[in-house]
Amino acid sequence: MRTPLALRQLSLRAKLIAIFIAIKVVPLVLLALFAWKAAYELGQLVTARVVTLSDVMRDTQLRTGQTAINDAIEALDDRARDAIETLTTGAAREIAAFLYDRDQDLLQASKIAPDATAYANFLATHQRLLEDHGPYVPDSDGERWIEQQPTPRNLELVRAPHPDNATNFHYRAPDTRARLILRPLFLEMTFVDRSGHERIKVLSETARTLLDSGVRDISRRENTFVRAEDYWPALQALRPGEIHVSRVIGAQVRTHWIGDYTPARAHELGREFRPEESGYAGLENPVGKRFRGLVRWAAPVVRDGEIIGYVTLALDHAHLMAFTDTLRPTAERRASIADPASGNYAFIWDDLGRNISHARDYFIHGYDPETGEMAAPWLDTELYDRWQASGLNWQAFAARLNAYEDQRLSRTPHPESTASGLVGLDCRYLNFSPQCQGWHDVTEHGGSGSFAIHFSGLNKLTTVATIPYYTGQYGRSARGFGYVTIGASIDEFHRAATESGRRISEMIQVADAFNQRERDNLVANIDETLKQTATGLALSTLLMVIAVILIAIWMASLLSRRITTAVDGIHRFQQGDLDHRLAADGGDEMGELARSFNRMADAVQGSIQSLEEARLTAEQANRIKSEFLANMSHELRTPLNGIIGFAELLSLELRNPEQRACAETIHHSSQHLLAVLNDLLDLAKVEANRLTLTPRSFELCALLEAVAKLHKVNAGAKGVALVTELPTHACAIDGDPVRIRQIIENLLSNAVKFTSEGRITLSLTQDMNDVFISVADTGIGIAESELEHVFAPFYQAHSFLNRPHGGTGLGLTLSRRLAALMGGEISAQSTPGVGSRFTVRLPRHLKSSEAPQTP
Amino acid sequence: MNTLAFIIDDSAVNIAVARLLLQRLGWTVEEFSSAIPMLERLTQVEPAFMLLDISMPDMGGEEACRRIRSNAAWNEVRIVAYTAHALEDERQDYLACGFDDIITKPITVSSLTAAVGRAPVSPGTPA
Repeated sequence: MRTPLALRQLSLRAKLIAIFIAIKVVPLVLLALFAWKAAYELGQLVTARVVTLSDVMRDTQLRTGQTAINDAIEALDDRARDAIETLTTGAAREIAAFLYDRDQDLLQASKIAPDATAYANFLATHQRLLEDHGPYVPDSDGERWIEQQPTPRNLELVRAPHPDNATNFHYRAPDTRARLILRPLFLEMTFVDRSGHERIKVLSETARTLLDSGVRDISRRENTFVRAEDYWPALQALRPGEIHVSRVIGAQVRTHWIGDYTPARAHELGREFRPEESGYAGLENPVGKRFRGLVRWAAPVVRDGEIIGYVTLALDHAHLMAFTDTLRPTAERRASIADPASGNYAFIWDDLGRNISHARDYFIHGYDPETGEMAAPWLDTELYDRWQASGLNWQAFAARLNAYEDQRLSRTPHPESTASGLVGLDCRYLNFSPQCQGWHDVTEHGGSGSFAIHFSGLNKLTTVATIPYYTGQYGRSARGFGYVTIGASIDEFHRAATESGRRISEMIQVADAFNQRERDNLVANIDETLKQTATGLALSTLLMVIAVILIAIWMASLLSRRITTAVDGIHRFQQGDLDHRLAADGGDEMGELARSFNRMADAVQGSIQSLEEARLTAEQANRIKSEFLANMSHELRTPLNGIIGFAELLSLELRNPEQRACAETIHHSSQHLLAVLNDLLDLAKVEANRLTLTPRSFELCALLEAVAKLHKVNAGAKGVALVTELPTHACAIDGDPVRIRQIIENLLSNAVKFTSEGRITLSLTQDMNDVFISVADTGIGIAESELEHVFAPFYQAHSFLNRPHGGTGLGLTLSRRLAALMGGEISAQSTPGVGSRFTVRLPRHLKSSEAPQTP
Repeated sequence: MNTLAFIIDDSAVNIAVARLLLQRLGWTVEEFSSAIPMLERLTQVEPAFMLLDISMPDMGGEEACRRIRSNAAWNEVRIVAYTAHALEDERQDYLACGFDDIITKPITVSSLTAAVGRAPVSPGTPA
């Protein structure tokens, strides 16, 4: 695997730091991350648990509260239902007892001899207390009715008389008896003979405006009360001791409208305010027209075992209504006046299901006094339309109807039925009021019961109890006389529980808010703790990372310092501080390295010193040699100065040919000596590295031509042709023309010397970098074995004097040295007897580095 | 025309050769074996040409040349080194001292003629 370049370029210290950081920081960071993750998850878990727990607690509280409320409501409802049922059955039983008492009254009356006085006495002695709520007037706003003279109330608050009885002490003020009045039970008492004619007829004063005081033939219906009584057939069927009890008979009371009959309401409806002409309705219309009715009891009057006639007693219906009108299914139990709007009131229904007592008198089902027929009751849309479509009067239409036909809460009263003012309630046909069916069902076998129903905008508990009175026709069904129903607003019963519920709800809300707050606090705390943990972890990790990095740097520095010190030491040694040695402390590899280096440095220093000494010695030798050369040259030239000078002068001055030849010989020989001396000096200069080249750009061809021209004379003298083969174009080169000339002259003079016939050719060729100057002759040639020796000094030297060819013997040696000095070379090819060729290769551009520096 | 030439050399032979050659070229020669008397004489006469040896016991030719060149009055004198020192670097040193030319021994007619720098004034040779 290749190490990346960037990594390789890092210093050892950086690498060490990187390694330390990699093996320390990464696990540290990972550990911190793990710790944080664990803490975070724990926090999340706890938060989730807390939230769940809190939610469960909340839910439990809510459900507990709701359950408690519901239970309380249910308990209260149960109790209330129980109480109301008790109230209902109590009322029913009272009514039955009352009715049975009337049976006894009748039986007693049947024993009385038919006599007006006796009958009047009887009526006068049968009276019963009734409560009268007194006059009411509209209040100043005309929105409701108030008592004209408020009933004084006993407002004294009775406390527990004894502390031991104070727990749950409850006191109820006595019912007011201020307005109780005695009222005759019966409206009239009659004796009817066996032909159906009334023989005796006595009216109570309460009946004076209601009943006809004259005796009539009651076998005819039109002679009866509101033309509706038909008791004659029943009387005829009676045997001694038997009793006939009629149903409730009375004229139907009409109402202008249903509900509050107040000036404000009349104004709202755009109707005239004439409450006296509309039906009575308790607090809704306390001055209205009351329902006046009767229930007729009749029994045979027997004389000597023979029925001589029939006595009848007409019960004032007001006494029946008294049982329920003021009955309240509330803590009040009884009110001085019924309040139909509250929904808390009692009704009585006869065995057929017709209403015979209601807080709203217009709801009591009566008869049309004109016809004696049953008044049309309050009808729902469908039935009313059907009736209207039939074209029949109500009684005829009703005879063809099924009772309790598909009663439903979804049905609504027919507006026309409502507007007609004839709104008597007949359960059999009251199809928008399915509680009728309910009551009918509950009382089918007698007894009592209850159920809840949402009616007239109120959530009502309705109880029903059979009136267990089975005399006469009332014995035909288990329902007896009929039934009492009490409607009660359910909310009323469990007002306390609702109140408790509200309080519990408030408490729960408070607790819930507290819970929520606690939960939020807890979650916030967990969040805060998590944040602190994260911060702590991050900080401590950061600190540890910094510590690790510092330690890494320190350790890396410690480890690498010795290496860098060693490297620095080696650098110093390299820079020339040869005395520098590494500190060879420690027995480890670094110590060994330092020792090895020191040993090597010792060796190198020794070698360098030896070399330096050798160099100094060589320089010394060279200097001595140069001095010797200079001195020798000087010392030789000084005498040569005399010799050559005088020889030249002599040859110029002497006229005697022999003497002159001698002088010329001296001059010639001394010239040769000077040439040898000069060549020697040049050679010595080259070898002492003291020969200086003077390079310049010049025209080589011209130089060669000039040199050739000098030698042509000598060659021509020997009968040898010297020809040049030079390029026609110019060939300028950079070089030292003096030394190049010296070389060419040497070669040409040699060629001339060693060629006796034929020709000598001086030629020039060149390539990119070099020029090749070649001197070829047709001379004696040189054996191949000797070819290299021609460049040795004095090769040709047999002896100076007998040498046939002259020359210093140093020409080729010096030429080769000069060529080499200029970066070129001289090579030789030769065939003995045929000729030789010497070729000088020179660079076209003499490089400055090849020019030796002057010492 | 000033035809006075000085020759200064500690070697009598060298002076003789040079004197003969200069005289052949028509110069009037005064000779000195040392530079010191030459410098004294220079205060009296001014030569046109001077052959001055380098290596001399009392005062070297270089020192003598520097002294002459340091005096503006003697600027006209052509001073030629007359020496057996033949190395190139030595030649450079001499020229640096103020020498006009150098004659490397052994002297010849041609080298002297070239060094004098003007036509010889030989009476025997038509100018």
